[in-house]
Amino acid sequence: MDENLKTLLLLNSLEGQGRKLWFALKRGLISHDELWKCDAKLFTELGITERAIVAIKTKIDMRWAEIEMEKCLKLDIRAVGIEDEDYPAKLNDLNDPPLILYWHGSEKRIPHKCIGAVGTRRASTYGRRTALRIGEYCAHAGIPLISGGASGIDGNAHMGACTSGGKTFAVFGTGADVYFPQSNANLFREIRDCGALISEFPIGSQGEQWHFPRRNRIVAALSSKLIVVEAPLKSGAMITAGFAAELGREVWAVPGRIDEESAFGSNKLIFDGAYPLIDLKDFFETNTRASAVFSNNDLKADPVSDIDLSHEEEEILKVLRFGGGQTVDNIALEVKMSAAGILKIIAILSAKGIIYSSGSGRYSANV
Amino acid sequence: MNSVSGITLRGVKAVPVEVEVEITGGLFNISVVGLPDAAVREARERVRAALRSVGITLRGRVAINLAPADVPKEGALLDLAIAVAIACVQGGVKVKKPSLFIGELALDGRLRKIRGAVPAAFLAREKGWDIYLPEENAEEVSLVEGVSAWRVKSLGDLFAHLRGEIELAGVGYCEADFAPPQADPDFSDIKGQSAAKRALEIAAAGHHNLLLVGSPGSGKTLLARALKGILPPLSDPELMEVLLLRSTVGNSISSVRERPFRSVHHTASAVALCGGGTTLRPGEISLASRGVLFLDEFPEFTRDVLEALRQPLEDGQITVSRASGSVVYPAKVLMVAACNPCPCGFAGDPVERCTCSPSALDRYRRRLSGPILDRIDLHISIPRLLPEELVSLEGKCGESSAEVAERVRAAREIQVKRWSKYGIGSNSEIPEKLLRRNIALIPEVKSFLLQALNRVRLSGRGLSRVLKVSRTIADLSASEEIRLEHVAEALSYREGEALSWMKI
Repeated sequence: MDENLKTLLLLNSLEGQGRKLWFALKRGLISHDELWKCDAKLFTELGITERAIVAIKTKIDMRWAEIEMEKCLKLDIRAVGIEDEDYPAKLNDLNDPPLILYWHGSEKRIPHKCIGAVGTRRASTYGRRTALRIGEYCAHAGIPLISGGASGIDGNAHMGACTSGGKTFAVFGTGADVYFPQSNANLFREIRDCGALISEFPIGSQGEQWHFPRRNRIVAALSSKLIVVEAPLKSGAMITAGFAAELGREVWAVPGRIDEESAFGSNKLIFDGAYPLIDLKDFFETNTRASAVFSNNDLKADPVSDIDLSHEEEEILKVLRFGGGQTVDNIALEVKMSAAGILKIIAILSAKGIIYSSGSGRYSANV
Repeated sequence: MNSVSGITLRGVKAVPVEVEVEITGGLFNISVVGLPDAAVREARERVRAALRSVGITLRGRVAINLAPADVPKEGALLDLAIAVAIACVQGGVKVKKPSLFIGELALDGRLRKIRGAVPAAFLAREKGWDIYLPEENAEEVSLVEGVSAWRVKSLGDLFAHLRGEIELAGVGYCEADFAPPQADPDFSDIKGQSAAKRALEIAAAGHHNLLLVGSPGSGKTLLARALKGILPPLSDPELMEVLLLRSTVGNSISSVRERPFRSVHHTASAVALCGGGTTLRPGEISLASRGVLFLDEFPEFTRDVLEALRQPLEDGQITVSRASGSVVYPAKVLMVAACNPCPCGFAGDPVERCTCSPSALDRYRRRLSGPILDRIDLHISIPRLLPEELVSLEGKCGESSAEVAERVRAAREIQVKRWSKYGIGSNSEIPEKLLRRNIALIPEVKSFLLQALNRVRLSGRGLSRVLKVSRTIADLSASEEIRLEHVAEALSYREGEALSWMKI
């Protein structure tokens, strides 16, 4: 068992060439011992490049796999091999499933049904807000949320799930112990407690540029439905959506404004046939068979229903529901109240979580 | 022996300098001893020429001693004292009563304006001396009560007065006008921005420091300037403090009871901001004392400058220590910081797109955190109004500064009544201990606050800031009890709340 894991760790670190060797091993073209003896002639016959052979040799000589295992033990990171029973079966849909998943967190397995939410790092307030709500809905519906742990959409989706007590898994383009971006470090620590941080890259790997598309294929494979919240035309989220479509996962996209570059990609997805996500409550009800969860009203889908609002509060809420992003002055034009009075009510409404600040000095209603 | 004295400045204090002159035979020579700086040493030439213009020609060896000998003397304001001391020896002038003479001499014997007239007046009053000062400095000195001061136009007039030939005009005490200064800009001149105006009102009422975040052109600077107009006029003790500082650096006074407003550029050094130099000059934070210190482009200030501001903001005074001595300056400022939400300035804007990369944003916002922000009670974001919004606000000018100032004044009165027995003047200064003891919350508010605490993860320090601001908001509506709406509004000025749209 241990030997097997060691081999997997070694081969996983060699990327494509390692995978080739793994299949050879499976098919019996090469034995375990031969692999560890590093027979150059046999390797060449199997089509392994010279560079890779040198790499394997050095790694075996410096006992790389053993050291890696010790590191995992020390950092409390599990290495889940491709044949492990905790290895997510859905990853086998990929042509090139990762041989090892480094796994850091309290959750031991990823359930079969998961929702992925991805998007741009440079998101609009609307996008970030929607991502947060998706995370919250996932938590309430009891469905784990998968994302890439980046700032912007990814981070907000994770945060929504975490803070509402749901499960969430972040797939890293760095080693499972390398927190990138650093500004999300606190969030990652929380995800560790309410899900797991996952990576196929060895301990301590820095975020190379080519890592992230590799990471995206895992996000796509792990999700049973993928929501693209907000993405420009050329972005990682679009790559993820591409993988998801190839793998036969349902792709959903949140409609964005047609004059905002950050939503061009997600809008294009809808044009190309992705499902438009126009009602969160509806999406979760019809797609998750979790309607029982929703009917008992603990979901913040309609935050106002069980709160008594004064006449003035309702009036301001009505204005904000009709059009978001209003300043206090705009509201003052709509309702017959003094600016100070409006501020007071806005303060109360946002303390109750019914409205939120959607931009510099602007307010919108929670839907 | 005639007692002729001048002064030299030590911070905002005037130190008396006795001027002695001895003239002996020999080749013509003037020497000044007693640690003179360059300006004092050059006084020789001005004094000689000025004396000649009134018909006193110097001959022989002239030795001028400035006592006490071990205090460094600075500035041109000793010119007049030296001239009078020489005239006493050679020109038949008599000084009957110990007097202070201050003023810079022109070559033709006229007197020029100097800095430090008010500290000199304080010294004269304390010692019961007469003081002779340049005509141009008479206005500031007239605000100091109980000084027997004389206006001097030229050296000739002064000598004639001392000889008893003419009588110089005295400087009478005139109380500073209590009429509130004209607000510029007035609140009613600023379109919209009611939320920001309300925050300014709270800041003014409770002396809370303020951070304005907004896109370029949203009106941060305008709003900060408008804050001055709603602050109550300077009280008499405050006026004296401000007058002393202004006179020390030689700033002119336009409207007497108007509070200082100092706008500091982000390239300013720590010394410029906090004071220092060999002459121990006051810094911007002291010049803004009892008024507003405005730091535009807050994140661009170097870290050590901001760190240096921390202690004076905490203590309300600053000790400037150098090799040449140490001076305590007041530093009771209302700090207003302003910044863009991101390097390009358009994050959160409804129309313009933010072009900053995520890492640039992260770096920028990291600079926006730190211990200095802990001293800021009110955070507020200012929307950049769209053209159509501006048009729709046309003709709605809102309250004038005078109306707001009246509410601020009333709220300050309540605070003074409540806190004066503890020796504090405003809600922002309430120490932790008093806060917990004196602010009783009704159950409804308590449970609301508890709920909010869970939601927003407020730290202990954050909570006391919210309570202080709530107290001010309650005072503004003349309510002894802190009600739900007060706490809710105070919560909305928290850093996390006001700037929540910027996070992640």
